Amino acid sequence: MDIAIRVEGLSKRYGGIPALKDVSFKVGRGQIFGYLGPNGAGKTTTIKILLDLINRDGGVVEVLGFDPMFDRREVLSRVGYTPELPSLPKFLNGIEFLILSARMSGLSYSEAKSRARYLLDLVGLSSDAKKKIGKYSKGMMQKLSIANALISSPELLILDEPTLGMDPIGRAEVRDIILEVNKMGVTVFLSSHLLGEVERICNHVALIRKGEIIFTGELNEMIKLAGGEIILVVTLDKPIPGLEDKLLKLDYVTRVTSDGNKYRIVTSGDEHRAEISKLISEAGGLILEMKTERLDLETAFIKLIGRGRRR
Amino acid sequence: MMEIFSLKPKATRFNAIKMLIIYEIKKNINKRLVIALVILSLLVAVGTVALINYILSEPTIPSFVKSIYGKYKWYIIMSMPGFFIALIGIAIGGGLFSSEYEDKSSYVIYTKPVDRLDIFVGKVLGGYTVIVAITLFFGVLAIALSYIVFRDIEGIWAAPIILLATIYSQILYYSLTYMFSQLIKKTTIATIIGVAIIIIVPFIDSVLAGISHTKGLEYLKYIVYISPTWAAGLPSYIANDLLKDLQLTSSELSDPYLASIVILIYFILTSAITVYNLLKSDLVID
Repeated sequence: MDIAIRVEGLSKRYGGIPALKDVSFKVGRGQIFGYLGPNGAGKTTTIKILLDLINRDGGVVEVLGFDPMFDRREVLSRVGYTPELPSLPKFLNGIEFLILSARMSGLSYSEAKSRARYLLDLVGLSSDAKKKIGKYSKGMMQKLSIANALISSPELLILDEPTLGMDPIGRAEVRDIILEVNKMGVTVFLSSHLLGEVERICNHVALIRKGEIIFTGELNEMIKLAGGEIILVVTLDKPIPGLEDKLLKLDYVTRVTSDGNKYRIVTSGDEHRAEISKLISEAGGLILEMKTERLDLETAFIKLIGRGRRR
Repeated sequence: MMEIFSLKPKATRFNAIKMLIIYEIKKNINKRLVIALVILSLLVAVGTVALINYILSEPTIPSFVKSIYGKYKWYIIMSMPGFFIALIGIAIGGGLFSSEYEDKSSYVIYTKPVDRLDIFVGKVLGGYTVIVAITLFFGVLAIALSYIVFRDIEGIWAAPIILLATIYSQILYYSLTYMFSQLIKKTTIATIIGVAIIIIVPFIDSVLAGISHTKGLEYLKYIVYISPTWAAGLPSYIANDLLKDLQLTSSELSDPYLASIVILIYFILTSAITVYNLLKSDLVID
């Protein structure tokens, strides 16, 4: 695998308090990588180290083949970044800021101007291009920050809660932008609390808890690791009284909920389908439909974070 | 979108520094404190013209007072707003680095392809460009006002040298405050320290110079020589040397060469400390 980000044994302390402990993960080129964890887990600290905004205490960090601590310019000329709740220079207007940002990245004035216009249009800020950033709302600031991250044609996009403060339409637009740039070969490193968003676009994830990585790998693997549980959604011809209790007596059934003739049975694996079908038939139920649902990312996240287990 | 990603820009040091200079200029000309101090300086310059006009036209004012203001009016108009112009240097220096931490704009500005040393160079040059422009403006304004109102530009040949000395001496308070701005990362505190230096140190200097003069304690003079406010008097020392019979400034302890060296030493020391801190410390604070 061609590597975009390599982090090995990364550690960082703030005044003696460890913020990152032996953090290791890899992000392959072309991936949309979700970096997940609760508040204060160390997500933003990791990102700051990747961007040489803060110094690390130990470990190895490589971004697109360069160490940000020693090759700052090489790294940052290839990376686009959107901070969590960005604070942009309030004395500039939207287009001035993007042009300045593009020029700092090495673009000519005319190229910077045309890109700035294009990106303002892309994020829906064309009509506010000449408005001072100080008068922008949080959502507008977030969109402008995304345009700023894209302006230098990055190979790697680092997004820290990019949709925070945005309405559902804005979130969908950002999601589309991420997917579109990813199609062009841009690697995306996404830190987000919105697990639904992550689930929709990320194929690989790392889970960090109290400064330690507790999982890194494919999204499906993480869900499997969270317990391997599945949900059988069974629709019967009629509700069967006492069926929940009978099902719960089975060792491999952990939870049963019902809504009329529809039952949701949480089991430890798909291999128990036949036994469950038999029990339902014996209880007098006729199965009209039986579907398997996997655990969602949010449930897996909560389980893994709660368990704090290391892979 | 495809077109955007087809052309990869090539970031250069020169370009990044140039853009940081522009950024810093725009930041400072939009700063309320800087605007307020420019207006105050303007009022002082115009007020000085009015004062000289009054002194020279009022028959009841003694002739020895008139003789002070009779010559080199452009220099008097130029030097009067000097305190406020120095405060502008302090206001710019005080927020040079700290404002990025406080406003969290460092997350955006410092994630552009710029080396940490270039951040220092770009920001310092940007802030200094504003100071130079303001100083030049007030210098030219003083000469223009002197000519328009009094038709007097006696000794004008010395103006470029004095103006250059003024621009050079502005480095002193500016570099002191930008050092505190980076070390403390608080604009208000860095600015207060700068203002405290400009107000308190001259008193200490005067006391030390007085004691040195009356008691004949030579070593006290040398303490005065290393004080920033003494060195900042460089333009007046040069004016004393160049403009004959200039009665407005004291020639005691006047030493333009030493003052120039002291300013340079302050600049080198404060810049070295700032660069070291910038290279070693985190570029964002929460």
